[in-house]
Amino acid sequence: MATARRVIFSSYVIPQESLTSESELTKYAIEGGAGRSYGGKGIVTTTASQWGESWTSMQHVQQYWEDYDSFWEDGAEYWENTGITISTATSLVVDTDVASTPVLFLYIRNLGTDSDQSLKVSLDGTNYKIIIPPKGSISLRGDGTTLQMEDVKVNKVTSNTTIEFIIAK
Amino acid sequence: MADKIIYKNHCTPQEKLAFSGGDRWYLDSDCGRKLTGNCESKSTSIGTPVTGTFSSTINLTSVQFIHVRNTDISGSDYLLLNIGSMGAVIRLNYGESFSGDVGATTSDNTTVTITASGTPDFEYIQGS
Repeated sequence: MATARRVIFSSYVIPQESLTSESELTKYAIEGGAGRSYGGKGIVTTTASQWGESWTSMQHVQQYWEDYDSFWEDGAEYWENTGITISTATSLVVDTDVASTPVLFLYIRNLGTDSDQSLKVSLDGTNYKIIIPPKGSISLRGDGTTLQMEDVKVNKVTSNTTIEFIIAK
Repeated sequence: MADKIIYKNHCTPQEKLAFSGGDRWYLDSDCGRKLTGNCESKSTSIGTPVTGTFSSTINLTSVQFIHVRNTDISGSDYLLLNIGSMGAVIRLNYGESFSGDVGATTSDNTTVTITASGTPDFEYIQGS
């Protein structure tokens, strides 16, 4: 039994510009104005006893069903770990008991690979203002009060896609 | 010349287990693995990087991609990001950053507002 939990998270950005060349090859280098890559790293201390088994969408073959302590109807996990299909506006947390619980850490990865499989994310339950391109992801620390479980929703932009996520208190 | 932005977001969930010889951190067994996303931003134009010490609210407009970092190396000052008026709900402690595409669609842009508790140092770069 875990006595504590934490998430180490980071982001890494590479601004690039194409270079003209006499050949037909397109080459990219670090964009001149930006001058370098960018990134950051942090550690979020989350709660040892999470709000339910669905705080993460990932399941794995080493996990025993008898160790689960939540109800089937409260979960959206896929045993094969194929991700959760998003075809309409979807709340990441369906357990109403924790609807108003602050989100301390959120990670969403878009498992879609086709160019029309972008995902959009809402952090207020209404407005979708973050886009996750295919194969992309976001990670963020919640403010600890205003961002609550019921505020986090996702939806497809064009075509259905699949996701995996961590949403921790 | 055309610009493009490649970005990654990575996380390693961990759990601490107690042993008689001392506690140890392991990969969280509820997740079973690390997670990484790697993609190209929808933004095709990169703005000039901005660095400074926070003194007043920063309002960015026409943003399609944003990277913001709290560049303090210690302390309790933090930044708050409000993307597209969804609320100032993304917190950046020292060393932490947020990187991602913003806007309602794959071609849309939106606003990003940066506020803070204290006077942390920051850097940001936006794509449009």
